[in-house]
Order: sequence, then structure tokens, then C-alpha cells
Amino acid sequence: MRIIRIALKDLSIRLRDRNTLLMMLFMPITLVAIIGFALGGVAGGGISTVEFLLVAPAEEEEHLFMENEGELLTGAAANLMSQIEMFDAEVATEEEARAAVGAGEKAGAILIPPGFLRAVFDTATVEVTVLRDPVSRIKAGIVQSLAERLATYASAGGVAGRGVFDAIEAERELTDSERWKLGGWMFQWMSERWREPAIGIESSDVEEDEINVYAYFMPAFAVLFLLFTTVASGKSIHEERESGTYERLMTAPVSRTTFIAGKLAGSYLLATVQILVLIGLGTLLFRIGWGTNPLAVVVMAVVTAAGASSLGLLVASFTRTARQTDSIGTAFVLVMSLLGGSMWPVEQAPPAFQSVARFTFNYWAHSGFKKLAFADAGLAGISQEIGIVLAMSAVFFALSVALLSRR
Amino acid sequence: MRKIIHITVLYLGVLRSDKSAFFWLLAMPIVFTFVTGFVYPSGGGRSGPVRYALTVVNLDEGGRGAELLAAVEEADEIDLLLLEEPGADSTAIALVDDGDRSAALIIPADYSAKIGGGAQATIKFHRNPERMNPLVTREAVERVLSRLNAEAMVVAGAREAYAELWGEPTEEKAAELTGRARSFVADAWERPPVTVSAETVGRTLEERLPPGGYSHSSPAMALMWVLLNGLMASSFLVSERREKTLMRLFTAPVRRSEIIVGNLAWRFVVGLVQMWFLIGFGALVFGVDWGDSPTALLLVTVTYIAAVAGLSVLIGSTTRTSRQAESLSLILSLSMCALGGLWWPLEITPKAYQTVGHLIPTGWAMDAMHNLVGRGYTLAEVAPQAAALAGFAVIFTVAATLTFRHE
Repeated sequence: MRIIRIALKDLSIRLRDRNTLLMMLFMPITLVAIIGFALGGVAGGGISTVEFLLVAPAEEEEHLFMENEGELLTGAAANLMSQIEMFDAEVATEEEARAAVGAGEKAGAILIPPGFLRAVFDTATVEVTVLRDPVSRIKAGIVQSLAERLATYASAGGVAGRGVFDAIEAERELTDSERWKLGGWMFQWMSERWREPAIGIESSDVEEDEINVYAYFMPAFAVLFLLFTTVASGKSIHEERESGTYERLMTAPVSRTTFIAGKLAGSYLLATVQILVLIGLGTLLFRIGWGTNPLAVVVMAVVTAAGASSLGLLVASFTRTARQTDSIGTAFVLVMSLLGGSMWPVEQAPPAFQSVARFTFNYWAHSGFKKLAFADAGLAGISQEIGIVLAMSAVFFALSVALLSRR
Repeated sequence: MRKIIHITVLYLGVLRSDKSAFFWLLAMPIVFTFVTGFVYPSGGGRSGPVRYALTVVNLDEGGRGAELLAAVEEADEIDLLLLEEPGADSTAIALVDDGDRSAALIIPADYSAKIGGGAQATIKFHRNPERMNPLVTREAVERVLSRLNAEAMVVAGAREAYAELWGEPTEEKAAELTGRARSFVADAWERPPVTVSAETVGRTLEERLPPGGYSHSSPAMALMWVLLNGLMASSFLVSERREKTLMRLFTAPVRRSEIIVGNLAWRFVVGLVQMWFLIGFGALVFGVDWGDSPTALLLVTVTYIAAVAGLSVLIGSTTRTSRQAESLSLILSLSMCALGGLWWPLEITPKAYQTVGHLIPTGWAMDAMHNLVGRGYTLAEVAPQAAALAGFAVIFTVAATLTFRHE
């Protein structure tokens, strides 16, 4: 009963404090909104256009089909590319392209070399050069990737066309009329075949525009700010001692164990309120779907709150003052969140780094929510996460008790 | 002037007694620079191919599946993990769904039979929707398929072209055509008709790039931590006001303006020392090349830190409690980091986001750093960014002066 009273008193004090509410709710929601605004485009919702240039080959020594075929090809390619929402391609000279890319006005430029068509239709080889903006980390890569894809398709088309001619002409040299006939037939036949190639690929993944970037970052930041809250709760143990209220409390029939248990229960209640409100706000503001099993979401939330409050207690148990708890606790939370993927997608990291992430509380708590939001995993699907977070919670609690009992 | 120096030194002495200050000013920025630089790819080109794990299951009952497997294994972007145990397809899908693997490729049992029979064979690509890496692996698989489809097209095309010209080939002739076509394709892919090479324009040449993404993370984290620490120092002013030490200072023969300048100056000195320590550390340990103009770098850092110092005093003057100042500082600094392109490059964000990013100092500071590090801009070339930062410094300082109060 006394434990509950201490817990409710703490909860009431913290919930009446505007600064606490600011940190618990406003801060994570603001950051998630900013991230959604910034990265929503990456997942299909309106990335700023990739602006690049196409450079026609310098004067051809000899043309394959017609004069200025390089320029015509480049112009047609630019038009075709610009029809894709993501791209804005313009034709330029190499000098203009170098100046624009060097100044960061364009992410990149694709230089079509002389003899490009001859390479595709005849026997030559050419190298397409991609100019990259030195400070562009993403868009220049997209331009290069586009050029590589086009090169592969052009090569594949060229190899296919030339291969057929080569196999037939090995029989005997074709007459001009046979060549024209074969050329016409090939064009039609290849257009049909490209539509249904020999090997197709069936993707079971979600289309890009269905990915809700908020569903990734909302639980990530919820866990991060949950830890800030529980560290602050842990800090209040020292604050009570430093302000003398602990001594006063000890004159009442309250044991030290009751006091600590009450503090932990208060921290747990506050953390549970915080995570459930953040999940609710995520659903309302960012339309995050947490799957079809609400029970699984609630279980994951209460388990995460338990782990976070135990961790907050652990930080308080190895620090000696409120200031120390604040400083060391904040640093600990930031580093663990950085390593555990609360600040960026840990899946992008090298494998060794991902292994390190698995030792953090953030990784497993975040993983449980991600599985619910992205894969509708249900209670059974997140049993591993629940088990690990509970185990971590038990370890943190046991360590805290051991440390506090030595004081 | 002497009094201002005296006040500045006085404040710096107080800061020196705070042991945790050095940890927050120097150690934390280094940890964040290391992690973010290690995780993200290089800033101006590719520091080497990034290989992503792709789980592959080959259920094919013929021999063509192995050919596909070998071709996929050769792709630079793919680190192939083959599953061969019974029920491997279900295992692979479960591994992806559970988040243990990013993507799986399953070659069906009838793969060879369908290709041999002239029908389309479909391979299955299963992706974890919460991850972005599989987009790269799927593109690499598609490139491999383009080559194989070209080969299949040559084989089928040679037979059908023969039939078109001279009637249906005998079985013997068909086999001869197939062999010839395959041999042509194998030779052709030895030297693909169209290849791609990349050239980074500007001063950031491939060989001069630091390992990993430190060319972005080092300046970004330096800007972030100077801002974060600078703004958090606002609570110091509030504490002084509440503890009446500021009022005591006003009773001394010191002018109000001298106290304000002293408050700005110590923040400026700390910021400058921190910034240049991180710049030096970045150069020596992370191998960051900070550009061709130290003067330009100095101008950018000085104007940025002046803006941060002004904003810090402004927050300290307009908030009533230390906690309020800390909360506001945290919200402002983290939001400004996110909006200014310190956490991710502004290039991937929508245009509106980029506009917002340039309404605050961080957007201009990051632009300037990119121009210095990536493009080797001179003093005159970064003048627009430095002018914008100086403008922010003036606005914040004037506002801080107008709102500064000692009680």
C-alpha cells in the first residue's frame, strides 16, 4: 500500500511538471514529425527531384543511322527520364555539366560517349562517364545507379540483337534483303520478348509508397525518450536525499526497501503512461498501424516500460548524486540509443555493428514494435523480443538491488 | 575591455571546475562522429562496394538454377548466403520476417523445366519491408537477370530467326544454333558493350576521401555538439540569476554591456575551442581534409559560434528556471540539427524542408562546411554562408541584449 502511495505521489508530481511533459511527449513527437517531413520522401512520399544532366557525345566521326544521332539520342533520353517523377534531366555540354555538378547545382551528369550506338548495335565497346557532385551522398549515387542500370539494359539489348545476327550469319552471309527482313522481324520480336523475359522476378515486398517512415522512427524515439524519463525518475531518488525529504520520510514507518520499490513503481507507471500515449499519438498523428493485435502492442509497451524503469534505477544505483545521475544517465542513454538504432536504421550498418546493437535495450524494444507495425507479427511473433526485454529488465533490477544494498 | 576579459576568465574558471564539461564538450562529440561516420558511406564517392547479405534457396531440379546462383554470387553488392537444408524456403522467409535477414531469393523447383520449355520462370524475392538495403540487392539481382535474359533471348531468337528466314531448323541445327548463341553471349559479356565509370568533380578525389563517411559526420557532429553544448549553457545564466550571483556582479563597478559581452565571450571561447579541437581531431584521427582555406574555415566557425553564443544568452535571458532553459535548449538544438541537415543530407529532403533548413543557422553552416570540405571553396566563395551566419549572430545578440536581465 505504501509502495503504491509513493508511486502515485511521484507520478502525480511528474505529470504536473510541464518540463517533464515537454520531454516525455512533445520532444519525441516533434522529432518524429521532422524526420517524417525529411525522410518521408525516401520511402516514396516526395523526395526532392534528382536533377542531373545528360551530355551528348562530341562530334561523331561517323554515324550509324543518321547525322546528329548522338544528340537526338541524348535529347530523347532526357525527355524519357524527365517523365519519371523522381528525375529531372536536361541536356548540356560537358563544360556546362562540369561547372553545374562541381557547384552542386546538379547531383550528377551522364556523359554519353561518341560511338555509343555503334557499341550497342555493332561490335565496339564504350564507357559512359558519370560526373558526381563531391558533396552529394545520395543523389549522385542515384544518378550513377541509373547510368549503370541503363548501361546494363543497353548492353543486354545490344548483345541479344547482335547475338541473333551472329548465330544466323554463321550459317551463310545474308543478302541485303534478308538483312532488312531479319532486322524488321528482330525489332518486333525483341520488343515483345522484353515484355515477358525468360526469367521474371516476383517481389513479395511492400511497395515503396506503402512504407510509413513514421512507423520506424516513432517507436525508436519513444524508447529513447522513455529512457530519459526513467533516468530522471532514478535521479529523483538522489534528489529526495539531497533535499532532505528522504530523511523526513524515514522518520515515518517506511522502510528503505519500500521507498525504493515505490520509486521504481512510480517510474514504471510514468513510463507506461508515456509509451502508451506515444503509441496513441503515433496512431492519431502519423497514421501508424500497429497490427491487428492490440494486446500484443500493450504487452510490448508494458514490457518495454518495465525494462526502461529498471534501467533508470540501475543508473541511479551506480551514481551518487542527482547531478551525476543526470550527466552519466544522459550520456549512457545517448550512446546506447546511438548504438541500438534509435537514431538511425541499424540495418544499414556493417554486420559487426549490428551485432553490437543486439546487446542494447533499445534494439530489442524497437524491434518488437517494428515487427508489430511492419509485419503484424502478433504476440507470438514478438515473443523473442518480449523475452529478451524481460530478461534485461530482470538483470537491471537485480544489479540495482545488489548495488543499492551495498550502500 | 579588461573588465570583459576578467568576466570571461571568471566564467571559464567556473566551467573548468565542472568535471563533466570536458566529457560533454569533447568525448561525446568524438563518439558520435565515430559511429555516424563509420556507419554511413563516404561523402563524395564510393569508398568500396557495400555488400548486403542475400539469403538464397535453390529448389531447382535441373541445372539452370546453379547458373543463376553463380551469376548472382558475382554481383558486387551481394553477399550470398546459401540455405540448403530441407524446408530451406520456409526457413529463409521466416528469417526475413523475423528481421534476422533483410531479403531472400528463392529459385523454384521448376526453374530449369520452364526455361527449357520456353515458358517464363519466376524467381521469388522476399524482402523485409522495414529495411532499405534489399532495394539495392533487388536491383543487383535484376541486373543479373538482364544478362541471363539477354542470353535466353539470343538462344530463342537464333532459332526463331532461322525459322523466319529458312524454315524450322532440324534438331541438330537447333542445337548448333544454341551452342553458337551461348558462345557469343559468353564472349560478349567478357567485354560488355557499355560500361560505366564515375568521376567525382571538384577537389574531393576518390583517393583523398577519408575512410567511411567522416567527411560528413565530422563537420556535422562538430556543428551539432557546439550548438547543443552552447545552448545548454543557457541554464547557467538562469542559475546565476536565481542564485543572485548575477545581481551581485551588477553591484560591482561594471557596466551592463560589459556583463552581457562577458557572457557572450565565454560561450564564444568555449565554442571556438571545442570546434577547433574537433576539427583537429577529425583531421588527425578520422583523416578529414577540411579544405584549402583555413581562413575560410575560421570565418565560418567564428560566425556560427557567435550565433550560437547569442542564442544561448537569449534563451538564458528569456527563461525562468534552469530546467526550462535546458528543455528549450534541447528542443531547439535537436530540431535545428535535424532541420539543418546535420543528421542527414538536406539533398534528400523535399524542397520545403530545405527552405526551412535555411531559415536557421545550421543549414547555412552545413552548406559552408560541405563547400569547404567537398569543393575546396575559398574565403570569397563561402562569404554568402558566412554572411548569413553573421546575420543570425547579430539578430540573436541584439535580442539577447534587449532581454538580458539580472533579476
